[in-house]
Amino acid sequence: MRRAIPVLAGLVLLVALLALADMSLNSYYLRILGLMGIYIVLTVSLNLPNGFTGDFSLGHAAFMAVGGYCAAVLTMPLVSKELLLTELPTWLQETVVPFPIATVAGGLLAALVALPVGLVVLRLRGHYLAVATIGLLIVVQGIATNWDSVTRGARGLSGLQPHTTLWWSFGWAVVTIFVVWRMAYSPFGRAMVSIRDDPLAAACRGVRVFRTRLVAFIVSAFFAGVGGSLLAHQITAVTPSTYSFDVTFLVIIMLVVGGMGSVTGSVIGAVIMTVVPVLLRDLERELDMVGTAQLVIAGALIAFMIFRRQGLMGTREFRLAGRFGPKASSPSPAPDQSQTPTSS
Amino acid sequence: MASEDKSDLRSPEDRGTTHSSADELLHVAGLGRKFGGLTALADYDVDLRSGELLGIIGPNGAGKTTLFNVLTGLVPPSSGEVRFCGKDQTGAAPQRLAEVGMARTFQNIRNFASLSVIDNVKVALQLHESVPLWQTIVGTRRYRADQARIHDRAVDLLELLQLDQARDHRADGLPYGAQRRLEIACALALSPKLLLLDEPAAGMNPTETLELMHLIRRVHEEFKLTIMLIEHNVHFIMTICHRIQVLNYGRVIAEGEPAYIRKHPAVIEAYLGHGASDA
Repeated sequence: MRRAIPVLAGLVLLVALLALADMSLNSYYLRILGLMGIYIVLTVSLNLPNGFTGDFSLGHAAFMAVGGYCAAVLTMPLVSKELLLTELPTWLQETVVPFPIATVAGGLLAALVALPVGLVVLRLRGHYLAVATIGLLIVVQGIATNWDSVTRGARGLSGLQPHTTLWWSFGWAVVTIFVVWRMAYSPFGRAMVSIRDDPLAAACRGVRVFRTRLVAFIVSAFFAGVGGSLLAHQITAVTPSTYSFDVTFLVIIMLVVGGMGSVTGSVIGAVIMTVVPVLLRDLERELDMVGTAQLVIAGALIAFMIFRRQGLMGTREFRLAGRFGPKASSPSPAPDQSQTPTSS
Repeated sequence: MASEDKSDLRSPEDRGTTHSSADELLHVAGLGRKFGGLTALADYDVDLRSGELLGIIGPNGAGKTTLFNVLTGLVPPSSGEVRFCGKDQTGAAPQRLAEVGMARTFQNIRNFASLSVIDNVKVALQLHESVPLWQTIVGTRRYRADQARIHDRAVDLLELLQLDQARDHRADGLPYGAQRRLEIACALALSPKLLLLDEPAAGMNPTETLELMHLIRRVHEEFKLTIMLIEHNVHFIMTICHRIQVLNYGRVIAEGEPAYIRKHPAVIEAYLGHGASDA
């Protein structure tokens, strides 16, 4: 149990910092901090297929939409439901589910959707898989825009309660990190990485290749659904554009900047890509040079891809003094790191 | 040559012996594989008893690796039948074959580059030790006990193959000979009944080759393994194998004991060209 002490200390520190932030920051910065927690959930979970298994999915926003709409319909106050969602079946019309349960339900529905989707798209690998998952995103967007009786189309669902506090978004971030870490540094994680390195050799060494990829995809979709619900209840509204390509690509950027195949890298990537744009925006407002922030970020990303393609962490992990999770099952850092996630 | 009666290909000792099914591990009949118009393997037959060490030689492009790929499920056969441990396994998937006891190494080494040496072995060890995912996440006592056992077995295997010094290095950082040994360690970690080695001595220097020869003999005896071995090093294969099959143009052109194969005219012709056998 000695290994758990640094982790517990870290958690206590996190709680203290969040309490401090909760008391001292204004609502604008609180929102950004909350958003950071949500992006940690999204990035760390996307790491399972994209980073560890080598299945480059661009469909994360699709699962966020599934989870977000599901949770929104469940938590929407009765008054708003009577007004906005008149065509809902009566049992749904008359129930309001508490936010935590609705969020888990959103995650479960996303995972449920990921099962048949995964069975089909995971027959592909590499670029083909990426394109197929974009297709999924388009399909989900299409459904969200046209299923008027549930999603209200392009108008979306508004009037949600602002349930997503700092505590919920960072609580889920901690849960996501814990689950993904335990999966990544375990027999399951070794199986994922072996598939990323060489799927054929993995099969010859007894790895259940398809099942492992499918499970990683589904767990990732669960947390995407959770993240979708958190986002919906932070903005207090969902429209199809809440879960657009932009969100998918922002999360991909966070993942790549942090380092694919590193849980702590994903956290760092999410934090940086949330904080830096905000700081730059403040700066450009002060200097009266509107628009430069985006140029700077874009330039920085290009430079980053040229000089540090493997991301900040590569596949390494930032570890507290002791260890966090099962002992010494992580790949050790090597002098030469050739970070090509897929070899297909 | 192709029309030659098959029984004539066997050495006199082998002729007419039919192995009883009791100790028969692998039975392959009429196995073939075509790639488009190219016949990479045709009418391949073999019966392997438990504990045998069969060598397979032949010129480049003779179909040796195709044979291994078909046997281990990487490439589905176009025709023929494979029975392993008395069960039909024709066209079975690689993972399934690993499960029932068929392990292989590759001619071009295929370890998992970004995993450490010991994790490479563990991937293979966990075939027979799979734990439900929820237990992994929760970290139950059973999960931890299993991981400790896997770790110990991995260390044992690495010691056997003299890789314990490098256990935490990345697999792609190892010297060539060590990478080959790691592949064998991973194959052994599957607790196979049949081990298929595809040119294990390729690229090794004479000392390494000699060590490898001792190693293969040792695991053959210690693990009571049945081994199929592709090798270009003729000395290697003649010393180590009980029986040798010679492949050329996807067909078995000769089969028998090393001494018989050494003198077989079809073999000499395949290697040295037509006319050489008359000399």
